[in-house]
Amino acid sequence: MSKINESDAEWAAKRLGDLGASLEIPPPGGDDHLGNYTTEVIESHRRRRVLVGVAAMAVVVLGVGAFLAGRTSSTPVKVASNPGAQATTTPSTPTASELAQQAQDNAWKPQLPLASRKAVYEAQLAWAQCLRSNGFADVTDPDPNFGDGNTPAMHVGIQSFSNSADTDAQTYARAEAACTVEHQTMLDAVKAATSK
Amino acid sequence: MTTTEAQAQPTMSEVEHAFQSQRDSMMRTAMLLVGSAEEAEDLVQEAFARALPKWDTIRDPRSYLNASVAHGARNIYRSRARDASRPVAPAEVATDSNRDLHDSLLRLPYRQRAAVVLRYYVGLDDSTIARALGCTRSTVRSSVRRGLQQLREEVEP
Repeated sequence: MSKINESDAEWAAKRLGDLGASLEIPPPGGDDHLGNYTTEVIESHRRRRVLVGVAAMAVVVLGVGAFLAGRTSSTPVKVASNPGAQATTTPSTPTASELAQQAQDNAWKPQLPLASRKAVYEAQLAWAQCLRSNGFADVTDPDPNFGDGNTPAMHVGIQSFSNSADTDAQTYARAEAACTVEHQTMLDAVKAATSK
Repeated sequence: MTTTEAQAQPTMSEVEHAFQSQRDSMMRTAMLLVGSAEEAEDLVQEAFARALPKWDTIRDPRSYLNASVAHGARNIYRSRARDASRPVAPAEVATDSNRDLHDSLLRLPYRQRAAVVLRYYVGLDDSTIARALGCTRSTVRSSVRRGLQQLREEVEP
């Protein structure tokens, strides 16, 4: 095929230029469509930029808020008041009576004689074993050292029912009914240990 | 706002100015490519819509917008090929001789037509046309030659 000569190029440029000029262009927004569309595109773009800016600002604010909240709140602790509870929660400021109860719960352990600790441990272990044999599969063993600051009853938990206080109470009641003797023995051991 | 941020965001007045100043020439390019004022409008609008988010990174808006129109026109022809029953409103041409040329132009295979229009009406170089049409520069050159030859044969037998 031959190369395009200059006259062909000139012809094409002239004829296409004439053709383009002869085309009847609808006025911008003859029905105001084009102008509106462009305005809409520009507005849409502007709105998107604003939204992105707002979202970025919200992320920053939330991040700073979370950081400050993390600095001002203490580490979540295990709920100690429910025997079956394993959930964690951020503690509210304890009342005076709650502080007194905590002091009472914890005061016995440092002074607890080894024999008492052993009795509590064995009673709790028997309770846990009874629970397992009665179908309470998710039962934790007691801590033989009793050194972690928890009350004795917490060492035997029913972990799988910790979502609801009502459910925990019901489950605990069933456990208590299934292992009445072991439960009472454990309570007696704890009572004996803490009353010394 | 810092200087960098200002450069990173398109200035709406710049885009609006470009639209006002280039809209008609782009419409003519699009009408030469697709033969329909209605579809040409859509092409021009879409070209601006695509360019808007990256306006400040576009070095040559005129080339970019025209290439974008050509790219969109190719998609229109593909959809026309899939749906031949779709009616196409022809563009209004002022004179008979130009109408003959326009008809001949529209009979060319799309790549030849686009290559001829982008080269001789818009004045783009081979590389830009190749990018717009998704082909090589040598294909652009051969398309221009064939298209031009057929046009002359039909219009000036």
